[in-house]
Amino acid sequence: MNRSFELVEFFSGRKATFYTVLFDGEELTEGDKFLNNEQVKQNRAFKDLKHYFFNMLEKFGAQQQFFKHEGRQHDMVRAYYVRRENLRWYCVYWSREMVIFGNGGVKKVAKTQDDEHLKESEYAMRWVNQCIEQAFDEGRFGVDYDGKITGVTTFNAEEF
Amino acid sequence: MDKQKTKQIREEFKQLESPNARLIDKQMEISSQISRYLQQQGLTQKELAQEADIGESQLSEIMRGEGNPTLKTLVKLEQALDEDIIVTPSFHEKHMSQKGFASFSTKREAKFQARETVVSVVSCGGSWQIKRSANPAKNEISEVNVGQIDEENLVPSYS
Repeated sequence: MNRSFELVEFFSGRKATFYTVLFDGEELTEGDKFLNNEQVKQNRAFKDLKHYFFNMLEKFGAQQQFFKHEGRQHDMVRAYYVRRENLRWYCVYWSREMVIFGNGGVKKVAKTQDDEHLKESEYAMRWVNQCIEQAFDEGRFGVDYDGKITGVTTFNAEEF
Repeated sequence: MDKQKTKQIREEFKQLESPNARLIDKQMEISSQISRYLQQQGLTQKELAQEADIGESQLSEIMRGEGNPTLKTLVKLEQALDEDIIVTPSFHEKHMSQKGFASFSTKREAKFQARETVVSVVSCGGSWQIKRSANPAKNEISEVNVGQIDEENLVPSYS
């Protein structure tokens, strides 16, 4: 999944700004793919997830406890997902004001690793995380107090 | 990027309305409140779960804004934190009253109270103050000394 990508604004509210990822050559961003996934749309928790999502944007901010850590402890600092029942929406958690949403889906298996689509969604966000961490360390990426990205939003795979 | 399709997808998402909206609001408020107290008191979720004698996974679910805790569980958490997580109207009433504001037991009573006017009457050598309520059954008449009458409310007669 080492592909070039661009971070684009997804939704913004009074308390946070949410971004999503557009991989090179794709027509839709990862966040929009999730929202356009028929299985996701038909899931009974989808409307609840939407309310939860907009509550974070407008009322509560992206408080860390609303997100669940994915994977082993300490292996990835910012790989999380938002869940509602068996819906999983992967993201890179940056702060209460900024989160980058990726793709996700309906979890039907005991282990996420057994679902190719979910595994891909998770690993895509790990890649995004790796790139922005590096750009941050190099001083090329930052986030202001309103959750707006300052610095680079385009990431070339060759550089990371 | 297909901007038109993107716009359509996001608009559709925005239009969704959850039948559980109010429940989700409360779940997130409770989570947010507990999180604030944990930070203030320097406690971890694990420590709170132990102190409140509830399961860690149960607390974790509450903190994700997904839990449906019983009142008993919330009281356990309140006791462990020594703080109120859920506040009822009586909580606000108590606090307002401590700050010198009148308290009303019902909205209806508050409405009547707001409409209440005090009419002072001086006639035939006597002075009365009539507390006129929007609810006529609650009108009160009391005899007062002239010195006690609020001059702004003085009226020559009352019928």
